[in-house]
Amino acid sequence: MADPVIVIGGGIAGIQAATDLAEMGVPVYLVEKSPSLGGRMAQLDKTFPTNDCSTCILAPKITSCYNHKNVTTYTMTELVGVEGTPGNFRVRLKKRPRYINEDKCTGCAECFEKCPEKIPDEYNLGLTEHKAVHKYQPQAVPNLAVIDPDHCRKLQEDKCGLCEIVCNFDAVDYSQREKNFIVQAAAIIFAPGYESFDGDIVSQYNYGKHQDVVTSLEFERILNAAGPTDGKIIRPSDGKKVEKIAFIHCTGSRDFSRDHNYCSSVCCMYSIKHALLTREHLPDAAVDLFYMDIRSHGKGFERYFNRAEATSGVNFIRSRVAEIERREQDSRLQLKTTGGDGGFKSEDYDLVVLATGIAPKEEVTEDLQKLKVRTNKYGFADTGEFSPFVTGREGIFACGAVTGPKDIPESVAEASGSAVMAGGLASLDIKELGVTEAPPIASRAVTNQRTRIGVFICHCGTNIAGVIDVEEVTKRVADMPFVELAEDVKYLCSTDSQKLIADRIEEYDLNRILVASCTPRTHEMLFQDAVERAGLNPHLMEMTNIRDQGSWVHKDEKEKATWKAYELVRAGVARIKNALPLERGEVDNITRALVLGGGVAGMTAARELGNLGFPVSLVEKEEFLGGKAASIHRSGLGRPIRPFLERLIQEIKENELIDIYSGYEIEDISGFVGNYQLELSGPKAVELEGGVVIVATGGEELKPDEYKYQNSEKIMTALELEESIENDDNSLSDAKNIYMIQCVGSREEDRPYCSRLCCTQSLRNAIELKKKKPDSEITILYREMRSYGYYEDLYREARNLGVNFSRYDLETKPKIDIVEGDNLEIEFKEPLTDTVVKDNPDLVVLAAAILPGDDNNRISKMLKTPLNEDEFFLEAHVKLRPVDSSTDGIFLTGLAHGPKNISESISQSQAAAGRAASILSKEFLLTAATIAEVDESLCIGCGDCERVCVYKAIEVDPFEKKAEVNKVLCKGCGNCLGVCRPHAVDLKGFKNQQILDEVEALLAKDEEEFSKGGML
Amino acid sequence: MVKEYKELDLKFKEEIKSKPGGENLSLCFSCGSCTATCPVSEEEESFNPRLMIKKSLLGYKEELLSELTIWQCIQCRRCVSACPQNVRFADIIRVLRELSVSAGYYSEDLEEELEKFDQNLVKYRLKSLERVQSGKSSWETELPESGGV
Repeated sequence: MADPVIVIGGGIAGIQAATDLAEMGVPVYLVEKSPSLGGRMAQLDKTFPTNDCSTCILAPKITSCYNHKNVTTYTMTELVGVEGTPGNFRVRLKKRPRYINEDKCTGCAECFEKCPEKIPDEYNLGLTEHKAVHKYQPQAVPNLAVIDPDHCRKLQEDKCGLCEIVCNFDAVDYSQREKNFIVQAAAIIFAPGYESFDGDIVSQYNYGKHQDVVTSLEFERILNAAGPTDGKIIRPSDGKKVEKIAFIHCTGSRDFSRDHNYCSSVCCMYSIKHALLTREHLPDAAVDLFYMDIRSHGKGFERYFNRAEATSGVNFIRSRVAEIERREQDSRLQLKTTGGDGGFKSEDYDLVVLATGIAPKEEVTEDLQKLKVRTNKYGFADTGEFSPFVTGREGIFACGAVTGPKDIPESVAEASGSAVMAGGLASLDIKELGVTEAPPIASRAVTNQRTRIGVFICHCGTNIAGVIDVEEVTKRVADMPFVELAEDVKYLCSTDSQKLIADRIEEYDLNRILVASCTPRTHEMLFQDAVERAGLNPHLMEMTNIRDQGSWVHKDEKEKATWKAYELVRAGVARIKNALPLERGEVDNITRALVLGGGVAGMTAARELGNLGFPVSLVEKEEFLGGKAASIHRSGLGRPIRPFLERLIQEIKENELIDIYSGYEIEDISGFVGNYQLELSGPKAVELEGGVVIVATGGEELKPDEYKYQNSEKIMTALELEESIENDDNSLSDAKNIYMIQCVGSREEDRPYCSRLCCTQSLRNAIELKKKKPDSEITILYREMRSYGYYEDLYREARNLGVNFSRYDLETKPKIDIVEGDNLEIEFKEPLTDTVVKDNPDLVVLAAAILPGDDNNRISKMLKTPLNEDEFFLEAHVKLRPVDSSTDGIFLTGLAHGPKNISESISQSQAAAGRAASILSKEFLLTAATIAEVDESLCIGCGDCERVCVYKAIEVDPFEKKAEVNKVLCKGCGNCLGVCRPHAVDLKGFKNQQILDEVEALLAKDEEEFSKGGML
Repeated sequence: MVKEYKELDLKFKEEIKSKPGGENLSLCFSCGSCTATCPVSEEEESFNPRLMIKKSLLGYKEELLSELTIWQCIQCRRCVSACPQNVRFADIIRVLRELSVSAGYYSEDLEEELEKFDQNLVKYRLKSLERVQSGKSSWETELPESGGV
């Protein structure tokens, strides 16, 4: 067994890191300060740029992390100190009392109603109230109550004690005390998240004084259907309709005067999201966004911005807001701005949302000091540009917003990357680890037995029984055919009830179980475990949700709700009666990684996997390693690339586990996760195999066809300038008047994405040139200055040095002419003064777009993994699976995935290595139980199923003319069933007959008809 | 309007930056906070601090130093506290005034006259306050033609 790793912080980054490590076979202690996992992301309503519901995509991830057998979660627990050395840390922790016995509480919420003490709801940022005994949030994981000791009457004055009296589980425990304990860990991953920084908004924008000025996080809760206003956008001060709303970008960011000069990187995007959602909620509202530069530099972000710009009623106004005043006469808010490029303008609004930035939590900065981890000048954890998660203290890694402002996918990728680094210290023994336990074999015979269904109906305290007459439902169900036993239970999820289910299976020889209670989303695993312990195959248990779809939505119609519950249960009975035991299959896994591409991205992924002990084959089409980085002079923050690159090449060359094939072309790739084949041509023909593929094939810089590029030696691209600086070219020393033009080929109709790194690159080059020759004039012509994160400091440094900046629009692009031999003339419009300036530059540098690799299409077809509309490789989920492709076992990194700088490529490659390691660490892979199966006697080989399968999991055998399901790839989505004309495909666990029985039972009008129909 | 770069005074920004108070000129990123907070701009559309900074950076030396605009500032320094980049426009305008005087566009006396005027305005304000409080008179929001002194 590997040594444990401790993960501090149970937000999305911590959850991802813990899950990845657990999947690699590493035991994890997950430590969270609050009473629930989930972090900031759990407070968000929707996520950009897809407008996915945040909780809906996050909750399954939390649940699977919390339930993972290798993860031990400590909530309400804080870090006290760390002693020891890498591989052998002793981490002191302090667990605050919950005053609730975590083993006994079922989260039933019965006590909340009785508690007399109301307090502000922290999860809803104090916009609502809950009781002193409460759940941190409705979907808290673990699903447990917590008592706020500062407000509990029992704990404060030794009065009340009502929660203890009403608790059916004896779970309230006022005697709990703070607990100090120590855990041993090989490595520490620090992912405590951020605080939303509001700078000085109290005085500047009268936040707190004017109720109708809210922060963006508060607005997330306001937008949320489960939030304080049930998703209605109203003025907090008087509940009146909002007709005009303003969003103020950069509140507390890009603000040197308030010590927060960095850009918070996410506020532009979430404000755009807020604007779009506001229009959805209030189609007539006028929505104004006040911004300085729109920073939509992430993948797919520019399109989102374009969509918002094209939305009627949404206006982007380039102006920082100086002040907000409340007007006496109509209590609307007056904003003082410049209304764009002009002079003073004021405008009135009903509601103002401040796009507050990301700042390190004060207590986290203290924790970092406890850990003896260096912080940067803004108080974030300091990590290296070439080693993005490595802190100043060996064995401690940091990921997510604690190292600087970033969005969710970057945090998730960093978490996977940190998992790799920590895994390296956990003495993974790949011969020993990850041997997946064989699935337990169900001992209880089921086939050829009479169907004996046990139905368990849950009261859920008053949650269900308060509306639905559970006894009545139980009585009716008991009389149904095949039902051997129907029983109602107060709380089915309690430990006692789990035992009860097992006992009843034994007692009545039950072979099908139906649980009528809450949602399978949170409880299916629990009940599957319960029946499995009694020797029953877990797929012989089904759930019917009579809470979310019953008592919760029909509170006022108790009788009808009872009847509906009965109907739902009888449909469930109809469905389960033909359920069959299902087993998961096993397939061999080749524990070697195939890495495509020998640039920084590919080499980093190979190095990390090699360091973990996995064999790697790395393929590079050029003779040399290094890719694009070989021609780049310095990193984003100005560190020289060459020494780093040389060290990286040496490291992978020296690692015996890494085979390098440079000078080889990819001819073909086939197979699936666990079993990929790769054919290469080159010095000789080579065939390789591996369990996973990491795509790191890189990208290109555009060769522009505008601005007279290629007509003059004095016009070059940014990459060519890098090479000239690196080689100390003479041509540069003569250049006294230099122009840099941004967005060349990016953010235009044909190529509507932002190339992300060019703004930073030009700033850095301008700084370097200006420092070398202070009397030179350097002018950067830009559209939006996208110096996100810490790169904002570069922007300030460039201005400080006297670099000139002038903005242009797509309609007023600069013009370049060649006059009198080889002299250049530039003409550009300066928007504030509205003048056209003419000048004669010595050198023009074009910040040309980053293009997808020209091989992307071919490789994408071979890998059967899609590209996005811009022909970069598409990730499985933009938010939560940023380095996975939609095809299992294929991971994406570097420029192949989208424009990014070297530091970001390294971070993503470590993430890809982490994700790959979670597969490589398994000797064999388990297939899902609920997958499609083909009845060959019915299949006509038409290929319709193949056409609709998004996972490439079903194919018609060209010789047999029969469809075949790849058991590893099939996800059980059911697409193929829908199109199969001869009904030759069926889905295990969701057989057509089962669904039809269920539907028939639901449609049956009364019992008589019902007994004739579905049950026969 | 088309301007040849040679018509612009490229060294003007360095000239301003070399004077006390003008050092931070080029730190401006044109967000407009100064203009949006300025009580003069609210009254007088043509008074636009952000534009004056841009013009200084571009080298509109003659225009800036010769026109009356730079003398409209009341030195309330709200622009200084509103600026996220610590550009300190109120100090820059003092540099511009100094340069304007030394270039001979305006006499030194103007500065003094304006200061005297502002002092008198304060006196007038205090006196009015007293009169209103003692019930002798009601508010006069319009000042007399002479400037109220």
